[in-house]
Amino acid sequence: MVSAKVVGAGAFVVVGLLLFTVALFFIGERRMLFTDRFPVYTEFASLGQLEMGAVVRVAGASAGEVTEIRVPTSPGGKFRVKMEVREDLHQLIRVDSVAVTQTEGLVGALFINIQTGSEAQPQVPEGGTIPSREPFAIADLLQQASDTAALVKETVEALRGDIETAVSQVALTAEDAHGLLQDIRPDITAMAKNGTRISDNTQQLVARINAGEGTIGKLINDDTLYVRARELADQSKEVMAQSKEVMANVKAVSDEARRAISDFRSKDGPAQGLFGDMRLALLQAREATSDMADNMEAMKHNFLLRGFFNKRGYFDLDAISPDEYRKGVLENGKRKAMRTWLSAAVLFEPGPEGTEVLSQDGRARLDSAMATYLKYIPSNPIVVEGYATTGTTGERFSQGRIRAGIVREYLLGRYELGPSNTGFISLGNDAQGSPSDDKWDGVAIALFLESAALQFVEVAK
Amino acid sequence: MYARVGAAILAALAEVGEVSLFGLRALREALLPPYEFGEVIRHVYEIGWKSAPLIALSGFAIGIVLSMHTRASLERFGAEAMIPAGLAIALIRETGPLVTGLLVSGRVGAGIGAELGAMKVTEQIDALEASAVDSFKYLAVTRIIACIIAMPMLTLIMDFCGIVGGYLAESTISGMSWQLYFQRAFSLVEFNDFIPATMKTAVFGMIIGTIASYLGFSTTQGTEGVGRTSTRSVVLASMMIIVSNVVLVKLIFFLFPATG
Amino acid sequence: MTAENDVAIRLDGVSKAFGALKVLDNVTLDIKGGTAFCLLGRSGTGKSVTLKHIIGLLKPDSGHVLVHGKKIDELKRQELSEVRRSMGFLFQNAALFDSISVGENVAFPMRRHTDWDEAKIREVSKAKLADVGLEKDYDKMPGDLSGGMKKRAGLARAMALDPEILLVDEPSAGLDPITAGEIDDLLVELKKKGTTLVVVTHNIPSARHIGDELAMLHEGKLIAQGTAAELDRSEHELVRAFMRSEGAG
Repeated sequence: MVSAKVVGAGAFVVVGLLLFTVALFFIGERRMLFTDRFPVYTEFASLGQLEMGAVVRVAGASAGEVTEIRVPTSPGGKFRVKMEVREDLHQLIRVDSVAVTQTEGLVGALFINIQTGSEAQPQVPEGGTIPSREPFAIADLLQQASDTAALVKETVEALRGDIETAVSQVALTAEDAHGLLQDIRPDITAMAKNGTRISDNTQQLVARINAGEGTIGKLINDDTLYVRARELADQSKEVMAQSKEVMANVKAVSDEARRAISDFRSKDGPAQGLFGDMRLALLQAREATSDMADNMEAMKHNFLLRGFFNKRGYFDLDAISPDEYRKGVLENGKRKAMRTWLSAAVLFEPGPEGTEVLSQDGRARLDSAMATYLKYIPSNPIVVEGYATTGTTGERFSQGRIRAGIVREYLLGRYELGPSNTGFISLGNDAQGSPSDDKWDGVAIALFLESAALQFVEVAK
Repeated sequence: MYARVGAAILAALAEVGEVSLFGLRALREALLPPYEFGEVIRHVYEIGWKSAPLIALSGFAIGIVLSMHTRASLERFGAEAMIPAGLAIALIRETGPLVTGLLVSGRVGAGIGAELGAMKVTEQIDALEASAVDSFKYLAVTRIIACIIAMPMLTLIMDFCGIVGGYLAESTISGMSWQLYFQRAFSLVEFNDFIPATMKTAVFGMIIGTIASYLGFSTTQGTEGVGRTSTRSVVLASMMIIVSNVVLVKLIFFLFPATG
Repeated sequence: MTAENDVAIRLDGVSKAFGALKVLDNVTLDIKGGTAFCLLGRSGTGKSVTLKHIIGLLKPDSGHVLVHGKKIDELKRQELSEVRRSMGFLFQNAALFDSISVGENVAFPMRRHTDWDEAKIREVSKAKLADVGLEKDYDKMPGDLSGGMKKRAGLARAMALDPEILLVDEPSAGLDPITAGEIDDLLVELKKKGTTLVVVTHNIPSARHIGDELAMLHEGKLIAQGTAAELDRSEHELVRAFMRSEGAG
């Protein structure tokens, strides 16, 4: 009688202790208390919310925990973080492995992920220190991007001033150096154009970052946010560096110009040689401004700012596929497209290396086409549609794009249209409603008229 | 009026004092020989083993309900992956210990109160004394120790069954595997979450055993008194568990700050 | 009878009160070893309280209780236990431990206080149950026994360690006359074997049957002490009236 109770009590205690041990092992297993571990260090200037006992992963695999966080001795120092990592993952951690803090899911705790190093590098020694990437904070990044854009704008303003100075100085000596002026004019013009593009883009960018901040809540759910935000920051940095370079180049050019002109005036200097140097400097400056303009363009399309573009989508055609365009997303029920069809034969003449350039005749045709449109600009956007019929689909699209681009460049320069209001798109050979059986070789200038204005146009016709 | 309120307060304080002294005496006597191992084992069987089915079933049901609740709230944040961990933390840190404490104070507290109360009014306690047996040690200390041993064990059973219940609820909805569920359940649980919370139930055990034994020993007025003792044991023990839990949780936060 | 050693139990000016109620008031009496002493009195006159004083369950407010010359009320727990082992106590309602069997009840004192092995404990407890005619009821639970059987089982348990002194609280209370008579016979048997008996009762025939010496308590005071014949001739009217009664329940 007693023995049954003793057995029951014994079974009860054994079950209890067993559960206790199992739980201990479960927790311990996660914290790798029962596996061989080795210490490795990394350093962070800012901890984020990293805490003792935070999980450490190696290439995503659960690997150990943070066992010690040493506070820096001076404000400039870094927090030294000690991690205990599973010995069997040691071979993956090389001296160039980077420790990054990441968040587990949306609301999870912060953990450290150690990226695997490169094959060529040696394993990190026990107790060694690996490089880190600072914890990423979206607010910091946006601030950084905004600051960069503001700086770029400042730089560009200064740069424009310099270009103007250079040009006017060159102009001042026009009588003395008519030939020189003739020679460098295309470069200066190109630079000035690039400068306009850059400053436009910068203005948009600043506005967009300001507008974009309000939508962060929406963006946060995107798991690729980190990468995208990083890209933005990297782009900003590049633009910064480039704008500095441009500044330097432009300064150099204007200095060169000044010197060349004074040399030319003195008539005894080696004018020809200096002239050559100046050409080179101008060329470099032009390339730099052009690269920078491209980068600004890229930045404009960055993920973080896309929301803003979509709101005003009609001028940002890169985000719209040709299909969507054909289906009339820009018309959106409120606008109607009005097209003037211009054939390639009229517009273009062969340029160097098999390219096409606008012919004199073509410019005249464009001018006459624009005459009808001008009174609706800038409140109604214009899209230059490029078409081509020869070659593969890809080639047709590419050629169409080039054609539309050339025409848009011309229109922008000629009529000082806002770049944000003047888009271009390639539609291959598929030209619905064209005069030649839904195929077209050339461009069409489409004006997207508000329906209210349309009434008037049709009556006018 | 005031005099009556005052007298009631004094009586309540006196009772608290009596119970505390009773508990302290039990702790002291537990350490002094002779030890009543046989009786302790018998009561661990009565209190622990026989409560296990009740605790297991309750834990199972609580796990299912908790799982549904955590799902409802975490789903809004798209954090379904956190359901097992949220459930495990809630169970291990608070729900398991507290619910086990209340269930045991219901089943065991009433049982001890009634048993000792009946022994008291039928002179069995006197009979023990007359047989040269220390009735306090033989009846009260053994039950209190058994409660102290059984409570953490029962809490573990509650926690385990709760997690299993949560798994069943979760797997029917999301089809999550057993291994993944357990791994996630323990992904956020630290020793500091588990050990103090489980060990504090030993204090609950002490409270249940002491209050029920004290009331049993002070039962008067025959069988009617036994019924009253049984009810008061449950009420007082439950109340003391809830109140002491506040202090214990605070104390755990103080002693193991990492859990806060 | 003349030597001090012959006095097994002595109450020396014992007083006891529960709150305002004075239950024992300066009671002094001697009980000789090997005799049967019957304490009489109406309900609530402190008879049971006196018994509980003798075994140390209650302590006097003043005065002393001596058993074999030792002051029970001043003994340490350990010493008190030793004295108690030489005593048996049959409670009014037997007070069998109802969570264990009848046999285990009888075996209980043996398990606690002897180093006998299981076989011997079983053998002796069966013998003790046989003495009271319950040898067949070894494995029954107390709840399954009738009142008289419970009392007999209680007697078996009280006698488990063959105590020198047996304290009996109302042996015939709640029992039919025949069963009560059987219990009385058992007590007489025990007395013959040399056990000192202290029996609390209000059943006069039973007291006359068992008791060598009788005493009567009234309102906490001892108002008469002597043989049954002496009490019959008591100058106290109350005592004579009580002795004439057939013992009401």
